[in-house]
Formats: sequence, C-alpha cells, structure tokens
Amino acid sequence: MGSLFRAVKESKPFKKADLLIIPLLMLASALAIFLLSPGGGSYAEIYADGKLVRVMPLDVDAEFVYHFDEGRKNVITVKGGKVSVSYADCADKICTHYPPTDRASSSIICLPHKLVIIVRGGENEYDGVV
Amino acid sequence: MLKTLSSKIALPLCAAMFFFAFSACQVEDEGQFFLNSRLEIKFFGANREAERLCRQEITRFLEEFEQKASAHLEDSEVSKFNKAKAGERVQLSERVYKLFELSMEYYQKTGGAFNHCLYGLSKLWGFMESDGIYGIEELPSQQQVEQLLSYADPSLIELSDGAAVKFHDAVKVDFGAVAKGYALDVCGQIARSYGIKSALFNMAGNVYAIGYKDDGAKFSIGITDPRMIETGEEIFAGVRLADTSISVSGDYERYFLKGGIRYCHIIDPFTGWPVNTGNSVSGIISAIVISQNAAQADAFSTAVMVSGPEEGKRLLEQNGLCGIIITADKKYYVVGDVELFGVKNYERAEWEASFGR
Repeated sequence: MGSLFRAVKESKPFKKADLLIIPLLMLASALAIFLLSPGGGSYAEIYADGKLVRVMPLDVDAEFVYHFDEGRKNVITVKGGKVSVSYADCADKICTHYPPTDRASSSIICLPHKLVIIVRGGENEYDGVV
Repeated sequence: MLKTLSSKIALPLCAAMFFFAFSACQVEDEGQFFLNSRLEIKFFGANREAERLCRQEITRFLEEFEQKASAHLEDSEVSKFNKAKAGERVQLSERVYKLFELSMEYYQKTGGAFNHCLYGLSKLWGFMESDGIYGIEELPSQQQVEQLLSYADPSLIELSDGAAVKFHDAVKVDFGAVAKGYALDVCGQIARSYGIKSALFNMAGNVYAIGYKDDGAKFSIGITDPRMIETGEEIFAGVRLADTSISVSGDYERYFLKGGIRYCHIIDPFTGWPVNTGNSVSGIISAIVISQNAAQADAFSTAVMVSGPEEGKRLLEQNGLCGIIITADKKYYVVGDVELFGVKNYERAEWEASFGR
C-alpha cells in the first residue's frame, strides 16, 4: 500500500508518452466528428408513427419503400439531391404533391400513413414553415 | 512549459471535441403526433437541461390534453359531451372548459364565421375519420346538410361551474379549429416557466414564437404555397416576426377531390358546405393570421377563410389583428402591418382596386 502511494505521489503529471497520447486523442476526436456527424451533405429522416425508421443521405440517389399495413405503402425517392414521395397508395396522396425538396427542416407528411419526412442539414432561409 | 500547456489546453480541448462529436449525432424524436398533427419544437437558447425538462412537460401536457379534448377519442370529455343527451350536465376539466369558453368568445367576435359546433357536418362531409383518410362515397343531400346545420349553433350550449349542458341531443362540438392554437399557448406558458427566452413551436399550420432568435433577429417563417402542385414551390413567401404567433388555414392539406371539385376540411358554418363549394364561395385558398394569442390566430384564420377577403379583412381589423389572404386567382391581400418577403408566383392585390365600393 505504502509503496503504491509513494509511486503515485512521485509520478510526474506528464511523461513523454502522454505527449504522444494527446495528439492521438485529438485525432480520434476529429475522426469521431467526421464519422458520427452526418457530414456536410443534407439527409432526410423518415419517421413512421413517431419512430425514426430510415435516414437517407440526399447526395445518393435512392429509393425507400415504406410499408404501412395491409400492403399499403409510400415510395420515398432521393434524386438529384432532393427528396420526395414518388408514390403513395394512401387515400389522399397529398404527400406526393409536395415538390422534391432539399430545404432544411422541410417536412413532407402523409397523414393517413402517419409518415413524416424531415430534411436535416443544409440551408434553409426559414426558421419554421407554417 | 510545453507540459503545462498540454495539460491546460489539450485535455479540455479533447474533451470538448469528444462532447461535440457525440452531441452532433444526437437524433431527436421529432415525429410525434398530437391532435392529428406533428409537433416541432426548436430551442435557440443554451440551457439544454431546462429545454429537456420543458420538452418532457410539453409532451405530458399534450398527451393529457389530447385524451380530453379530441373528438376522435371515445373516452375524451369532448366525446362525452357529444354523446350526452339534452339537459345532461357534462363535467369538464379546466382546459376543456376553457376551450368551450374561448370558442364561444371567438364565435361571437367573428359573427359566427368561427363555429365549434360543426362536428356533425364535418362527419357528414367525411372529415372526422381518425385515421386521417378523408372522403365520402356520395355527396350528402342538401336536406341532410340543412338538418345538421340547424344544430350547429353554439347558443344551444350553456356553460356554468365547470360543466357544459346542451339544449338538444344533436349539438356536437369539435375544437379542431382552435385546439392546436390553444395547445401552443399552453406550450408557450410552460416554456416561459422554464426560463426559455427563444423558441419556436410548430404544429400543423400554427407557429408560436417566444422572443427573438439567439442573435436578436426576428424569426423568418415560411408560408406554405397553397398550390405547390401547380407552382412547384414549397413556399409562398416569408414573414418576419418575434414573440407572437401565426396560423394558416387553407384548402390544400386536408381535402378530397370529387368530380374535379376540391372539398376541403373547413366547413362554412353559414351554408354547411366545405368552403368554396356549393353556395359557400369565399374565394380564399389560404388565410394567414398573426396574433399574440395562438388560439385567436388559429380561430380567426378559419373564420377569415370562411368569410372571403373583404369580410375577412373587416374581421381582422375589428380585432386588431393582421394577416394575409391568398385567393384562388393567385392574388394576395395584406391586412395590417406584416413583414412579408420573397413572394413568388402570386400577385399582390390592392383593396380599393378589387373592392371599389
């Protein structure tokens, strides 16, 4: 016990190895920021009944089919950097009227299927849309 | 020297970077639905803990409020009132009683253009389906409409001591045109009680702004283009505002098409028909109202939508409100002092020119 206490007490706050570790930690942090944040590009979050079911980056053309019950569905399409609902078999199809968007915070809503698509990242001159 | 420098700067810097890395990827659950609408909350301050607690309390309030005030839920107080017989006293909680009171006030102030007794007609026209699917197989007969219209009368309800009584079995209420605004007023009170100085609450056509943005500027609120399918634009224009609320009523979100005619969810309380169908020709496709009070903005946007531009303008001016009226011929009118910018695809109309009387 006594020797351990002495060792701790006598140890210097920093050794050469620490100086190596610090830049390493910084590098790891920078890497974490790069990997964990969604990147410079915008993306669309797809929520079904309040739950996040898919994230689609807007810089990759893609399609996501959301299956509501009884074979009903919405097709969410990312094309040319914008997201839209390209097909829906809900009753009103109002979600398909929404023009393809890349505007941050824009939301496309399909009420019958409780589906919400929200654009994140990127620019939006508006703080909210009413 | 180098050592002290590293210990004083590098370690906190690392910690900050790690914190930033992980906070940047936090995903907030923004897809929540209340009162059949999506709620979006944006805080612009720096007090994360107060914001978290505030968000929790708001969620609790809205869940509870919906249970009591929704006409879609079997066991709500509103449904109990709707199912009650004439003369039966229906005891109400404080907030639902307040909805009855506020609605009566707006009914009177709008000369009946806002009416909370349209449940029967909304159902007849196929807008009371809780699954959000609107529409009907066959249009109702004029006789059916007129029969329900005679009970769409708020003076057939008496309020006293926290209870409501109706004078006829068929009197049924729906607070769809005021409940979201009222809920936002309460959300605002909750947020202010947590010391929040800058925030935006957005709930299906209603925005409530607390204070100014963090940089002291006004908020920029985009107004949805009511004919985005034709114009290809999401936004009609922007409005700059602070510490107030704005509400939009339009024919473009909850509607169905039949025989090429657009039947929207806003029922004209004078004719019993959806606005702009039958004898109800207001000509308005979107009505925007700005008020300190979100419940008032909500109710008046519906009332203006029903009333048409000229009468709508009079209603707003009489009550010291401002707003924007967009008509089917792609024109827009401004009432009062509105900081409007970036209008696209619509032409500004002047009052005198179009209503030269």
